[in-house]
This record gives sequence, structure tokens and C-alpha cells, in this order.
Amino acid sequence: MTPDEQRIALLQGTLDLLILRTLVFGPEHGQGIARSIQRESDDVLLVDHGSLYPALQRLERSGWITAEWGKSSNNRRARFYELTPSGREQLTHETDQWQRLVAAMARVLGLGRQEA
Amino acid sequence: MRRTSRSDADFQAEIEAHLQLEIDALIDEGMSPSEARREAKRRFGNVTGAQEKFYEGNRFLWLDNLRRDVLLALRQLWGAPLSTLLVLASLTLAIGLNGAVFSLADQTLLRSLPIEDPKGLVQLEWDGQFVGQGMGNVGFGKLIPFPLFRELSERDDVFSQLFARSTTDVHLALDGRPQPVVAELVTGRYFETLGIRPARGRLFDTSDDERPLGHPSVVLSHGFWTTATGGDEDIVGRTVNLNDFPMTVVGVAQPGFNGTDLGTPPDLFLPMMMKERATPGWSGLEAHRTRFSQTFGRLADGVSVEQAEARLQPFFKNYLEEDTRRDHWPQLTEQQESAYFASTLALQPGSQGESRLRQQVGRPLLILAVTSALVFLLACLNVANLTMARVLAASRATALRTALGAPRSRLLVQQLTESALLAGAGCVLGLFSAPFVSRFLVGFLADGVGNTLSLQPDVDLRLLAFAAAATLLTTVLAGLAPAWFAAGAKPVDVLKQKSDVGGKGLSARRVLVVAQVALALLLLVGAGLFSRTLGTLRSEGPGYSTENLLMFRLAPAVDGIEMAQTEPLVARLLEEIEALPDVVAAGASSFAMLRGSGWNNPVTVRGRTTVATEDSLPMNAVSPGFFETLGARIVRGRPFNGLDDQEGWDLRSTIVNEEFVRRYLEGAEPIGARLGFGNRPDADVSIEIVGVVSDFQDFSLRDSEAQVYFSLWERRVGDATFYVRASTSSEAAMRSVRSAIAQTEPRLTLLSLRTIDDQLDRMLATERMLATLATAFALIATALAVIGLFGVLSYSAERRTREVGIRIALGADRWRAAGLMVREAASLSLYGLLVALPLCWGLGRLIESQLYGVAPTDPATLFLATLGLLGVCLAASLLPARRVSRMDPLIALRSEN
Repeated sequence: MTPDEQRIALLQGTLDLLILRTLVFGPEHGQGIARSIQRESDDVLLVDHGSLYPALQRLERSGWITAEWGKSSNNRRARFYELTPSGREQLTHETDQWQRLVAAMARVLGLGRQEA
Repeated sequence: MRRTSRSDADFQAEIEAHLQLEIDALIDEGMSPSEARREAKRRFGNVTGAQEKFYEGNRFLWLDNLRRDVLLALRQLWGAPLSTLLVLASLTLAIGLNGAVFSLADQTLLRSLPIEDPKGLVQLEWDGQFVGQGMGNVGFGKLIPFPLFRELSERDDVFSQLFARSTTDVHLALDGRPQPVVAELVTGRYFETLGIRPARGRLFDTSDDERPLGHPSVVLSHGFWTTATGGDEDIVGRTVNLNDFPMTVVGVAQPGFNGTDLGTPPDLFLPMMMKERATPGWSGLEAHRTRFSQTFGRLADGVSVEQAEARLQPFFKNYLEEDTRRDHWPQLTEQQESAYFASTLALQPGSQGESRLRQQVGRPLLILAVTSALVFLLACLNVANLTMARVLAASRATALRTALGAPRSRLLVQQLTESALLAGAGCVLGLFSAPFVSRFLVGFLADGVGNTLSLQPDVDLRLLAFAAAATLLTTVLAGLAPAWFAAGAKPVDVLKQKSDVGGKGLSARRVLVVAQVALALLLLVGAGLFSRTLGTLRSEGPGYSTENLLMFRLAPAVDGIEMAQTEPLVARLLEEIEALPDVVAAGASSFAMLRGSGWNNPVTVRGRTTVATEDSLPMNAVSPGFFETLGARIVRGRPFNGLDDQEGWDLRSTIVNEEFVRRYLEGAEPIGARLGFGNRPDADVSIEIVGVVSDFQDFSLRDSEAQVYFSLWERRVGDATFYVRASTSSEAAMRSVRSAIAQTEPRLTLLSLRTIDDQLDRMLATERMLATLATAFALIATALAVIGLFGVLSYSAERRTREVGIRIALGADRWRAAGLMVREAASLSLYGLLVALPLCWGLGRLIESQLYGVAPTDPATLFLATLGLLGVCLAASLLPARRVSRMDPLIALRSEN
């Protein structure tokens, strides 16, 4: 596990993107999403499990995901979330924006280092 | 808040499922079940919290965000302490000031009397030419002859209720020594009409209105009862001495009621029938041509003001006709006669009562209100400017946050939070400072108007609410404008500096700076004009040396001394005082000098030609030693005779000043010319001019008036103001004067003992207030404008680094590069000055009446203010200019700015 001080608290807005991204691989329940984000980011990103639910709530209301009760792999009842077509579109859009930002940031930060 | 279709049980089930899944996973990873349960809960965070979030949907998120925004805003404000401090200070000052000024203006100019149905109260006004004179200290505010009031109160077709009132100073002894107090003389239906109830005992009614001198009853005001008797419960029925005459206290009036004249709140009320007791030797209740009282009333049911006025006129015509047939009706010119018969009885709104205070402080308060509104505007501009500066400085950080996925609305809300925090803190501080500012202002005003002023250093909550709203709006708008530019721009463009958010913001800030400079100039000019007015009045002074000169007042008649004895008493006192070792000279006058009010009358002068003055001339009656005491010289003729050479109470001799000779005698020999009271053709021109005195200021400090003096001994002397020139210090002389008076006549009450300098200060209180406050405001305004300008220049210098770098690299002179900054400062200030100068002209008319010896468009003041402001503005550009001139072109070229 990564020590706490090296973890990055999630920025507002990025959690939505991460949830959408996680759901690309198929329906998943809340706990699965939290674990998946943490695992995919090599435990760098810190997800407060509790804060996941308002985000899920928000995405569901925006129509980007839908939810249904089902059975988990170890046969427990859980609420599964699934990406809708408009959610998929949103993910593409946001990913695109994010990549442009990262590119821009890289340029900015790279230039800054040269100057110093 | 949107509602969701999910039940909370469903949500709870989901959370429980989540925890269970997490526990399963943790046990799989090797934890014990109890450890796993704890850890799962820890990872989830607050289970109930999540449930709450579910119940409350967006609201919880909103609250959470707000908390974060507030913390962020606080951190940002803390990070820029200077600008935060400036904004807070200017807001505090502006809000406190406006709160205080508005509250005073409200009390003097806007508020109704604390009576029943103030709107229904009307005041009668003799609208037109009155033949006769006004008397007493109610000023000349809508006086109605008392017999006319009597006739009116017998009619019931116009008024349902009617009363007359007047104020006078009396001496009241509760136990021991008499104290000077203010008495309001009222007719029987006064309290009933105003709807005032007794706090103790009873108030006057029509049974107190029957026989002159037949009702020795007193009603105390609640305030006086509280302060002077300590709220004595046994006050009703007690006998007190009023002007050395026993009277019975019958009651105490309702708390908070201070009569109908805001400027002279009464300590007690007397029945009008006791008039002659209150003003010894003069009743006036039967006088048709000497007005001393005001008349208020309520209209009869269903009668409109227009109907009432229409019904009054035939009756009033009749009254005017009748008066011409009474004794002593003077002969009038045709013009005077037609003006007299054109008079009407008008009905004015009476809800605020009537007070000279309103005219006296109305204009200064209006000026203060305008000035403090300008300061407030300036503070708002300053807040806007500083907020913009902060926001623009953070525009790249903002772009970064937008890029990281923060919704734009969240960024706007963050900006608003910061603005609202500032505005809120400013308002709260303003609220606390307002009472202090108000007390300070009332102190100034009270000095000028008298110590009995009933103004409260209150703070008006409506105004504070307004100020708070205005401040909030300003800061919010200022916070929003750059956020708007920033939010409109694409984040990537801002990061790459392609979108010129800073440029748009900078031009907005330039406009703000121009406005700030303009306001600062207005206030500077105002300060210059008021300071010059005060300086001129101070340096010109009254026209004689005020060193070791003191004054005091005695009212022997009011102290119960027989009228026949008062004159010899005054003469004896003058002798005794003059004989004191530390006194050089002493004199007395029947009216106090330098009070801006007193005795005045039109006169007819007969020298080579006959001149009837249009205006009333100030007059006074003085003792023979009066001029010598002041240091004025008799330049022609002789001084007045001593008391021993006088007989009877007819005015026979007069001394006029040089200004009078210049104005009315047209080069003729003044000595031996005659004058008489009034400007009517039948004026009795029989008083001989026996001397001419050098000019000095008697009535007021502002105008050189043609002044007329009579001999004190040729008039009845009920009271007199004494002037004493001391050889040592004023303090020592005050002590010996006090003991000399106590020895000569222990019944006398010594009033207003003070130095002339002190009296001058009181006289100039309004001017001092305006000069002091205007100067303070102007300095603050200049500081704020300069800070604004400096901020804009520094920002602009930073943005132009690359441009200037190229210029320098291409061989441009560093000094010329620096000159760019100075030129920008100059052009911004010049725009400001161009905006301000026409406004100066406009506002000059507002303050014109308060100025002396200087025109509102005085070129020297305008020039100095402009020059001074330009100077500090250019000085503000030096630091940014220096930075530009010292820059290394290589670094500048590489810099991203």
C-alpha cells in the first residue's frame, strides 16, 4: 500500500471521469468501482468510499449511468451501475479534454523547467 | 433540490451491501472479521454521512462546497493582507460614515415627531407680508399672532383641534439654586392634539387655559424628570420656584416626547396663560402685531387641506381688514399695503414640527451626506479594483482549475464567496464604527447649535442594510467581471496566453482608476474650499482682539428681580467688575454677540436724503463701556451717556458703524442725522445719530453688516450679556467675576460664562466640522486613488515586460521605456481630472452657501488640488517605471508575460 502522504486526494470533477472510465469494462457495483480506481492507479488515487455515492447519484441523474440490483461474484446482493450511450459519449469528450489539458500542462511545466 | 425516486431504505441497503462486499474482500486479503469490519467502515468514511448526503442530495454538497470555498477565500485574503486590509478599512470607514450621516439627516430632516398620527398634524403659516415684529426664541418659523390663534380656535368648521406654542428660557429652582432650563409654553389642547399621555400625574387641558397668570402649574418632560430629580416618584404636587415664583408640578409627560421643536427640547411645559411669568414684563397674549408663537392643529373630519385653506381665507381677509382699524396701525406704502392684503393663511404639513435646526444643519448635513456617499462610492470602486486585481492575478490558476474539471459555476461561486466575505466583514465593522462616527458628528453639531440638542447618535439600520447590499453588489460584480472573462475564455488559451483575459480586465481597471482619481479630486477641492473658508474666518476674526476677553449672561428679571431694579443692578455690576484688579474694562449688551441671531429691524434713515432699508439691520443696545472693552473706537461724535444722565425708556441716541455710514448716508455728515424703526412712510424718524464706531463683527462672522447701536440705558433691561477684558488670564478673571456677582446679588444665576474664543469656536463649529471631515475624506480618497493607480500600473508594467524588453534590446533608451509608465500614469490621472472638473462646478453650487471669502470655482484651489493630485499620481508611477527601466532584456524576452 502507498503511504497516505503520497496519495492524491481526488479533485472535484475527476472522480466522475474515473467512474465513467471504470464502467467502460462493464457493469460494476460501488465497492467494485472504488477498489478498481484504487487498483488501476496503483493505489495513488485515494477514494473515500463514502464520497463515491453522491458522485454515482449525480451521474445517474445526468443520465450517464443506470443502476440495477444484482448478484456479486461472491453471491451477495449489490447495486450494479452501467454506462449508457450518452455516458460513453461524455467519457470520450472528457477524456479528450483531459488529454489536451495534460498535453498543455506538460508544455507549460516543461518550459518552466527550462527557464529555471 | 430535486427529489429522487429511490427510497432511503434502498440506499441504506446499497451501503450495507458495499460494506459487506468490502469486508468480504478484506477477509480474503487476510484480515480477521472484526478487523475487516472496522477497516471497511473506516474506508467508507462516515456511513451516516453518506446517508445524509443521500437524503439531502445537492444541499449537502452545496454546504460542503461552501465550507471549502470559505476556507479557500480566507486563505486567499490572508495571503494578500495589505489589499484585504485596505478594502476592509475603506469599507468600514465608508459604511460607518454613511450610517452615521444618514441617521443624523434622518433625525433632523426626515423623521416625524414621536406623536399620535403625525401625518394628520398641520401647521399654520402667515403666507405673505406681516405688519409687525417677531419675538422670542422660536425664530421666525411660521409665527401666528396669538389673538389670531384665539379666534381660529373658536371655529369648529376647519379644525378639530388647535394649539399654540412657544419656547423661552426660564430659571427653575427645584430645591436650592435656580438653574436655567428651557420651557415650552403651550395652550390647553397641546397634549390632547399631539396624543401625548402623562407618565405621572396629569397633563394640561383646556381648564389650564382660562385666566392669564391664573394657572401656576408645571409639567416636566420625562427626560428632565429623570435627570434633574432622579425620577422622583413624589414629584407630583411638589412646589417649585420658576423665575422666583412658586408653581406646582402637576405631572410628567410621556417618555421620548421632546416638544415640537427638535432643536430646543423643553425641560418643562407651562400653560400659555403663564406667559408673563415666563417672560417677565411682557405678556404678548393680546398683541396683534407682535408674533411669538406657532400654531398647529388637526383638520375637522372630512375636511381636506384645500377645503380648509379655502374656508380660512374669507375669515382671514376680515382679520386683515380689522387689524388696520386697530390702534397703532402704521402707515404703509401702496406696495406694502397690497402685499399685506395679499397675505393668506396656508396649511403646512406639521408631522415634523418646526425647527430652526433644520435650516441650520440641513445644508451641512446634505454636504456631509453627498461627501460620504462619494467616499462610499470610492470605497466600492477600490474594492472592485482590488478584487479584480486579485482575480486577474489568479486567472492562470483559475484556468488550470477549469482544465482539471472544476465546473465554471463552482469557480464563480468561489469568487463570490471571497467577495461576500469581504463585504460582510466590512459591513459588520462599519456597523460597529458607525455609533462612534455618529457621536463624533453630533459633538460637532451640538457645539454649534447648543447643548440642548436632542439628536441621538443612533445608527440607521435601513441605511446599513442599504450599504451592505450596495457593498455586496459591488464586490460581487467586481468579483464576477474577471471571472466572467476567465470563464468565457478557453482554459487552454489562457494557459497559452492566447486569450487576453488580463487585457480585458486591465482596461476595466483603468476605467475604475479614472473614476477614483476623479472622485479624489472632487473631495480635494471640497477640502481646499472648506479649509480656506475656516482659515479666512479665523484669521479675519471678529475685528478686535479676543485675548483675555470673556463673556457671560445674566437675566435679572428671570431671577425674580423687579423690573425697576434691573437697570441699576446691571450698572452697579459693571462698576464692581471694572473695579476688580484683574479687569481692564467691562461692558454689556442686551443681545449676545456672535450668535448669528438677535435683534433686527428695517430702519428709515434721514440724512441729506431719506432712505428706508429693504432688509432688517442688526441692532444691539450697549453700555457706554462696551466699545472700549472690545477695543473698537468711536471715530466720530461721542460715546453713549452714563445711566445717571438718562431718563425714561425712549430711545433717543444711536451710534452706527462705518459700514452704515458708507451704505446709507451717501457722504452726508452722520452726526446729527436721524433714524427710526421700520421702513414705512410714517416711520418715526427721531433717534439722533450721536457717534460712529469703527467696524467689527457683531451679528455673525461672515458679513460686514451696517450695524445700529442704541444705549442700553434707554431701553428696559431684563437681561444682558457682559463682556470683560481681563489684564491677567481669563481663568483668574472668571473666578473673580464669579465671586463679585455672588457678593453683589446672590439671587443671580450666572449663564454661559466663557471666553470669546470659545464662543468663536462654537460659532465656527459647522465650518470646523466641514473643513476637518472634508480634509480627512480627501486624504483617504487620494490614498485610495493612488493605491488603485499603483496597482494598475504595476500590473501593466508586468504585462509589458516583453514589449519593453524588445525595445531595449533594439537599442531604445531605458529612460524612454520608463517614461511609458509615467505617461500611462499621467494619461489616467488627466482623464480623471477631465471628468472631475465639470463635476466640481456642479457640486460647487451645493456648497456655495457654506463658503466664505472663496468662490466654489476658486482657480487657486482648483489648481493646487489638481497639481497635488497629479503629483502623487506621478509619484505612484515611479516604482513601476524604475522596475521597467532596470529590466534585463534577455530575461524579459524569455519571460512568458
